[in-house]
Amino acid sequence: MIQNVLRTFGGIDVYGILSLSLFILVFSSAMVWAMLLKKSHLEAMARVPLEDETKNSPSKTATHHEQ
Amino acid sequence: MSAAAKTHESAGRTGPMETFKYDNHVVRAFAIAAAIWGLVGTVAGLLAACQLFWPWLNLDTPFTTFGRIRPLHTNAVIFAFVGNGMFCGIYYSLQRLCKARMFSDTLSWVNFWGWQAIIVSAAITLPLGLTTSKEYAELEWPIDIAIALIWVAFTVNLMGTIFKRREKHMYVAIWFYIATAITVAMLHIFNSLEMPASLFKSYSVYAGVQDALVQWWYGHNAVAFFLTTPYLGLMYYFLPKASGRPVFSYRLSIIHFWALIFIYIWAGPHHLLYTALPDWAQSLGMVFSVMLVAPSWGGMLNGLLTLRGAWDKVREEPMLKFMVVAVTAYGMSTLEGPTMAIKSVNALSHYTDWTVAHVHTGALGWNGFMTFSLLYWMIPRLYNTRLWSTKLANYHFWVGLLGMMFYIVPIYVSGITQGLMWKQFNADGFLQYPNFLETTIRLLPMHQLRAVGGVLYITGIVIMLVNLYRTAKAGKFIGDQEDSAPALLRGANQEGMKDGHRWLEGVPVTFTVLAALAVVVGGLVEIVPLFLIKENVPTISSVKPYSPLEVLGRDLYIREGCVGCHSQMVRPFRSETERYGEYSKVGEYVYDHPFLWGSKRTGPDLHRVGGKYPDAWHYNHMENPRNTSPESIMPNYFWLLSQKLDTTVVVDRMHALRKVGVPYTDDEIKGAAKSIEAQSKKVVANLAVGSITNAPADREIVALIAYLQRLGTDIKAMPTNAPAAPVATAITPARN
Repeated sequence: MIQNVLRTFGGIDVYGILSLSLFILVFSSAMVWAMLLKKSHLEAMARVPLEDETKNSPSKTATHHEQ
Repeated sequence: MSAAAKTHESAGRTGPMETFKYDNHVVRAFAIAAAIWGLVGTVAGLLAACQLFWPWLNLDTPFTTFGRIRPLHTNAVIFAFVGNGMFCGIYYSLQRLCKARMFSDTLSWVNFWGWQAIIVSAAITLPLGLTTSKEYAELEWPIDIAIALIWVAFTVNLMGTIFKRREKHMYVAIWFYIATAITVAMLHIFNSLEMPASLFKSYSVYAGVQDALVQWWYGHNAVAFFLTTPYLGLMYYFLPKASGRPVFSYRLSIIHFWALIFIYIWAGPHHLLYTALPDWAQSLGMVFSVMLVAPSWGGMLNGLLTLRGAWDKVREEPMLKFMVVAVTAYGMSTLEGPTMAIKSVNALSHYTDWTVAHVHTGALGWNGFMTFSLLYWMIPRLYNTRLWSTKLANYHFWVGLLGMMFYIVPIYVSGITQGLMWKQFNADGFLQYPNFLETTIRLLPMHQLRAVGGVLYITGIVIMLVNLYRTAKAGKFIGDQEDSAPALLRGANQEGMKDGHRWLEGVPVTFTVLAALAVVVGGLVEIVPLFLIKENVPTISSVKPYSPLEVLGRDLYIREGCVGCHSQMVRPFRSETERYGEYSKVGEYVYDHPFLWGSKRTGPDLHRVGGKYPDAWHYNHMENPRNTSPESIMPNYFWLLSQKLDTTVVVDRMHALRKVGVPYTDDEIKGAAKSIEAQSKKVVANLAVGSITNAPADREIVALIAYLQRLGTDIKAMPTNAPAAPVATAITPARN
């Protein structure tokens, strides 16, 4: 197994800064991506699950066999 | 123009209308499996819970002791119940979101039957004591390979269906399914790297702290990518469907997805706070855990706000009731998890029942209630009928909710009581409760109440099974459900990178690569330095590999599942060093394949148990723990006194251990039999000193005693002027 290739771990501060920078990069990219989307696309996509009812599907889950 | 037509136009569909059929057969099969395994998994959990206050329920057989039943319960709930529920929901929703039948019916059935075969093999091997001991990854190497193959079949089927879709853009649920498929594969493969010593015995290729970090990188992200992301995908599909309203914010779902999958993977080390893990890795895990609240709550709020203006439906639809509680439980768990990842909170909560309460908020509330919700929604539709009884479904909801409360609240009280009692000092500066058993016994009433909660929850599942069975009987199954949609013309894609996320939603390969990158980065940053940097795993010159007899003893410790109740990690707190002795150093575990740090102390820590008691004490204790510790809840292990130790396996095992880095010489391996004989004689002689004169030297108990007496003793042989492990300076000194 590859082990102990590096002898010491200098500059540990870089690790924290690198991690935080990476997170900010990913988070802000997702924000920018989301903000740039057109409303029409967002509305269309949000409705996708609502359009797959087929003619066989009952409209309601519940029934009242007790009635 | 209808909304649907507008959507089609915006999505760029221009092809001719095509008719196709959804495969409901495999969905039904997974639904039945989820319902049945849900009952089995929770009954196993109830048995384990009752064993903690009625030790006679261990039934005095090796196969039914708590140490073997607990992994059976966790595996059954996670992989059998939630796994089948996840596949059921994915196979149902994916086809409809892609407007396409699954890519391959054959792969669907390979996935189904392969998964059930794995579950059955787990149900056989775990009670037999064939286990790696790594939590939620206990299954031995041949089953690990089978899991990898079946997962590949699922992934190919998933991606194949996405490629042949008729809907241009992938809906948010599909992103979560993709992230699940690739990340679970990565986690499973890397955590299961092990060296076989025989057909059902292997050793982790990692040792000690490295094994711990990889295991909890896996364990934490199994929660993330097996129990969370697929269910979030299902939430994004089924909640809008049930409420009849689109998701509250599609924008938020984009941020939710990317932030969640990116951050989750970094947070694994929060399972190892205040252990011998290097401090930098602990801090990294803690900070990212706290950050994880943001995307988790973004997703929860997105779910709950989808119901705005439709809360009246929650009154009418039992499945919506289940879903609202599921999403709320998700919110509670994902706030509590990061809270427990804060070091000062973790100092109290870790190793206690608090962790058990936390995971059950997720398992019973989020996964359980979400699965029930899906089943109540899908079964009537698969059978083209209506639910047999709404009233029964409502009974299930209230009984289940009550069961959850009865489970969780007492166990929180138990966990906090336990943590406080362990740390309590009296006015003279001594431990208030120096006898660990005293703290265990104090918790029994809470454990009994927890079992009542379990009974209620299981009652709810039985009610559901009856209701769903009657529903199916009343309807007619639609195996192949017809639907139609315009064909997706491949050449018509005019979108490019300039269209941002919209473009990305139409290019599954690029999407998958980016999602894989997002999860890989965190893993690399976290794990690679620990393998490459010598400073992180300082060696201690007096720490030596286990003797052949101790290796066999350690394997018995693993077989009996001792790690389920006993940790081997003394944390750097005065309350722990007073109780157990010197705190554990990272260099003490360099030959531990696998690590046995544990995650819960139902019994005391054992890392410094070596030399604490005479050999005869262990002998009597294993025969019946009440012999030495009245009122102990530990199972009897009297078979260790009579079962002959199999020494024929030791050479293969030492060879396997050498391959993963334990420096056994050829002479040591050749002389294993003699070494075992000599060390066994010493143990027998020690037993005779303790008035046990009839103990044969070739029994399993001798090997186990040899291992227990070795635990944590190497460090005592250190020269007095030798410096302690460098990492010790990085660990926060004892506080309380």
